[in-house]
Amino acid sequence: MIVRIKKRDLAIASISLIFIMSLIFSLSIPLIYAQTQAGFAVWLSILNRNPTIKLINATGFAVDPVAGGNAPILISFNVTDADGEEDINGTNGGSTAVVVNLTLGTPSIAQFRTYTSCVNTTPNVADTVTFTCTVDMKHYDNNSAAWVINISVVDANGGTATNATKNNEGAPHVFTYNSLSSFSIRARDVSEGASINFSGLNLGAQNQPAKAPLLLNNTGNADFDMIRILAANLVGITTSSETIAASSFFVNATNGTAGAGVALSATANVTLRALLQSATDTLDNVSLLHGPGISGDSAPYPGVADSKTKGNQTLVFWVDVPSSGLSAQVYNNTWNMTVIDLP
Amino acid sequence: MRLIVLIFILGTISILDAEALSVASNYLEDNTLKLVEGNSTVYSIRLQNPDNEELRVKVDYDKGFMRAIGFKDEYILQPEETVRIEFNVTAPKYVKNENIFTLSYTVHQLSGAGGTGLGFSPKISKGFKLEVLKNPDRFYIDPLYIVYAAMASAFLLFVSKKNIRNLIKNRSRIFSKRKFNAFKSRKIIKWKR
Repeated sequence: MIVRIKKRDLAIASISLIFIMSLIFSLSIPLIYAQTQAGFAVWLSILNRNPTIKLINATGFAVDPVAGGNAPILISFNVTDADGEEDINGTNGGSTAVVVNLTLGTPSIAQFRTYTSCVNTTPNVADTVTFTCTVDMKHYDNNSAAWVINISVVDANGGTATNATKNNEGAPHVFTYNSLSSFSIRARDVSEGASINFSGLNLGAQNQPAKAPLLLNNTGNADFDMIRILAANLVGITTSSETIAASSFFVNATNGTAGAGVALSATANVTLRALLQSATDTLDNVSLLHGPGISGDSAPYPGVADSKTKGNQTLVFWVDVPSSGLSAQVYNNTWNMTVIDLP
Repeated sequence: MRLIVLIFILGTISILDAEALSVASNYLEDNTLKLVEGNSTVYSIRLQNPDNEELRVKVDYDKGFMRAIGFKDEYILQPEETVRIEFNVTAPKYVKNENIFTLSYTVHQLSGAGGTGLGFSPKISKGFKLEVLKNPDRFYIDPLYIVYAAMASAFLLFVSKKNIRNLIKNRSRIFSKRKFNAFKSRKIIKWKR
């Protein structure tokens, strides 16, 4: 059978078919989409909620360092966990961690003191545990009003929290570690207390060293820019009319050359100068900087690579014995040593 | 043979034990106490005795702007004891470029561990700055500004005087010229015609 269709009718039929197909397709899109949405279900099950921390002792307090020792800093705070206090006091199994970190400065070079064994006390309200931590600050930690208190808690299920900023205003919780100017004097490497001792000297002997140098320890966190000595003539104990002039004694801080150093005086404070000056037109003082020195401490924080050399200063004393006018006896006197922390 | 005189000198500067001296003080930013002129504040130091023997200490201080409260000539510190000394610091009048002062105090150890003799008498001298600030309720005039103002006034006076003098001197010429010019105006010329 031959069906004759006019071209015009074929065109109309084709357009109509395309239109109907388009209509059906467009109407079916929401249906397909709806079916796709219904095909996925998301289930979220919260097994643990993070604890929150609130400091009890107000920030802004100030602490004095303790000379040559540790200053305990008590940090007390509440930790609240909506899953119950068992989640943070260790009774619920799992491993909890409470860390207090006191920091000063930018992270890469910050000084810090950390305590990881905080003790939890009896909870006072539901879901809350009070922790008390004592962090020891060393006598040589820098004095500053910008020490920051950082607390972090990990609960038994791994939920973590850090202490919020002060009043939630972005300002950290800070405290002040005050300035401590402190030093001690003792004989170095010998058990003779704080004494310098010249013994067995002959008349006229030159450049004779003391039996042991004197060791100054900076037992605080302030730097001393100058060291001054006001000497006095040594007076004979048996025959007091016999004396050794203060100007017969010399002192230096490097022990580089026998007898080298600044001559002492009985009439004026003598400032100790470095034996080797940094330039020809300088007058570098012998100083006593703060640091762990020979305390045996290794500061845990970075940026103190040379800290071992700080915190102490050795002074080497020498004497030129007069060639006459002295008898064999003991001579002594009192000298003043002033360490100066310039503003 | 050379005669050797065996004379031994035992020169000792002895102390029985280590000497130690400690003084804590309030932390100051840049070691500077900032105070508005005329105001006072309490600055305190704390003497520490880290030794296990009694310690006798004397304190000297600058009395220009500091006054110690309840001051003693000598402080006796028992082992591990800390003694607080307070100073009332008063800021003087603010003067530009002369508003920073250095204050200092010195702590002397009078006796140390053992207490039977002193070879070295340790001292700590510590200084800090006092920066006097302007009182925000007061109006300050810089003396330099007064000089500038006087110079400017003198100049203006000089110029104005010169102008007045010139005006007086040439008043007849100026007024006559005006008159002349007035008669030369077109309207008048027309009227004359």
